[in-house]
Amino acid sequence: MSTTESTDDTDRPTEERKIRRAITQIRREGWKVAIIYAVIDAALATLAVNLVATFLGGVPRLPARLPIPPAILRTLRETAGVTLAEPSVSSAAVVGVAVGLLVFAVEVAWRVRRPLVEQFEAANPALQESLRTARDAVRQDQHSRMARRLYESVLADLKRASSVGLLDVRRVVVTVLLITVVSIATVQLAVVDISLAGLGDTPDAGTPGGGTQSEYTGLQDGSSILGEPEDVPEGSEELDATIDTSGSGSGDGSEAESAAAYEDSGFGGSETVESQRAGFTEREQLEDAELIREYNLRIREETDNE
Amino acid sequence: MSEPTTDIDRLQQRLAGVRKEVGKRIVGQREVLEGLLVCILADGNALLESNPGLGKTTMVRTVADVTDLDFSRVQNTPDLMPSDITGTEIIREAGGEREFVFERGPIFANVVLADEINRATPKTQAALLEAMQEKQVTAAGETYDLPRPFFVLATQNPIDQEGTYPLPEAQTDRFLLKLVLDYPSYEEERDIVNLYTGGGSGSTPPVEKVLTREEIKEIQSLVREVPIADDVRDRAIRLVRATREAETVEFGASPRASMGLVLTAKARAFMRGRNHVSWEDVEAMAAPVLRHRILLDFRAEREGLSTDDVIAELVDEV
Repeated sequence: MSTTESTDDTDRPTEERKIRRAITQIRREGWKVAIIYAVIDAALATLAVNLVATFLGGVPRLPARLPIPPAILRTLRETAGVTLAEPSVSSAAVVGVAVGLLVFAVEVAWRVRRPLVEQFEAANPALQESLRTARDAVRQDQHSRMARRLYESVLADLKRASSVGLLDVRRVVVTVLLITVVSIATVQLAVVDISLAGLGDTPDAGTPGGGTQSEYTGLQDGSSILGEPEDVPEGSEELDATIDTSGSGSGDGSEAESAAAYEDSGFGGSETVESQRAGFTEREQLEDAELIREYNLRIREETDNE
Repeated sequence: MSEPTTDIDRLQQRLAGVRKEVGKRIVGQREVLEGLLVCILADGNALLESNPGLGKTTMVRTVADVTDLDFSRVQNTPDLMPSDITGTEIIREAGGEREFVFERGPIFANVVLADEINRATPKTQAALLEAMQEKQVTAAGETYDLPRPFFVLATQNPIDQEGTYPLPEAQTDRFLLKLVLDYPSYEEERDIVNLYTGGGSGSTPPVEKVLTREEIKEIQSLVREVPIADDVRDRAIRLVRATREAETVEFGASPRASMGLVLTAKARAFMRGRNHVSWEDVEAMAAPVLRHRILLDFRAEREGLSTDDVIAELVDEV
């Protein structure tokens, strides 16, 4: 707004004040349109850069993840109560956001470089000459009968005019569709894990001994993290158990029957048989074996004493 | 709508009525009629170039009739004296006493048709044009104001130039517009013949007065208030300045042409019911305002370019 326009409006005729307000409103609409364009283009740029960086396996000369400054972490914790499990962020995302912000700033500056009212006039050709003349007349403080008549006419025309013409709806729709496509592509890329990062590297690339470190931070193959499958020791927990062949003991019907069958076969006698069980899985059985063993030991001691 | 706006609407409707009434007598020639009215609304004077018999006198007289303006006609000849136009002091006897009385000439009218102005001597031309410019006449030390509104339409015959005194450039610059009256089309000529040779009481169809002198003065005041955008005004000025720099123009238009171009564009916009000047108005008035103010050089003549052609090129360039 010029300094002339910022003078006391209450002293001016009603139509002139209304024209000034209308012009202010038109400028506001122009800013809105510029910001709409800038936001969607910035979003597209952010997603596109992130997608490309992910596909290429990272951003050159940047680590896979960038640490978040402690000040930001502290602010997040204090203001939003958010505590991040991992205080770092993907470098691809950071570069994407940076490019998006740059696109936003450049586009807003580029779109408002031409006077916003002139953009509105261009979008409403029927109003172009009358609105421009009214603007000039207001700036020159014209209060003549013809000027007032012009103000009335322009105000009536402005009520019928629309700032929608400033917005190229087709372009906005196309950009939003592109944003959707790039978003889907980004998710798909993360799921299928396509990356150019490993192409051309040695087979042991990415391993600690290989001298290089993969900077990919997305979902990874489980076998690459766990390594090649190999045999591992099963572990040993063996217990010796002595079982009295007299058949008394466990109370297990099946074992008693088998002991009786053994004696019936002609191999039984007063001799004791020491049996061994190689492992067990159930805790109850282990306790039984301990009980049997202790019980057998006591019987032997009593027998020896006799 | 507020009261002033209603008044302006009414005046614009009256102007439309003037055109309609004049159309009862004049067939076609819409552009010339518009130029004539623009000239009156802009409080200027016009130079009309036409061959004889194209109805220029009828047109001007009709405009005077429908606007309630006094009309006079001066047929310029080489022996016409300045006092024959402006008036002179004569001795009048009244009650046995003699006194000098200023006898007003034909220039004391609202609408003056100066036929074939190039047949008058330079001295008479200068007297007429000075009166036209100053809107007053001085005789024997006394100054007499011309009636308002005041409008001179001077005609020139483009052929039969023998024995004429062409207007010098400095004098033609005093005319706001130069209108060129061309022959009518076949259909228009047929309508003219039917209109003036058919049945009826007289040879001239009747017209009604639709605009008063006071209303014309009011409109002249309103025309100057018509807002013009800065860029349109600047472009009009650039157009006039371009005539001074164009290769095909030997002598360009003066700042008076810039003022005339903007003012006539305002008058045209008002007449068309608009509240602001459009570039279309400037374009339409460019040729009438500039064609008598520039002199083409030999290159334009060699290429067969007319003044209007050069102006049209300049309009496209600016």
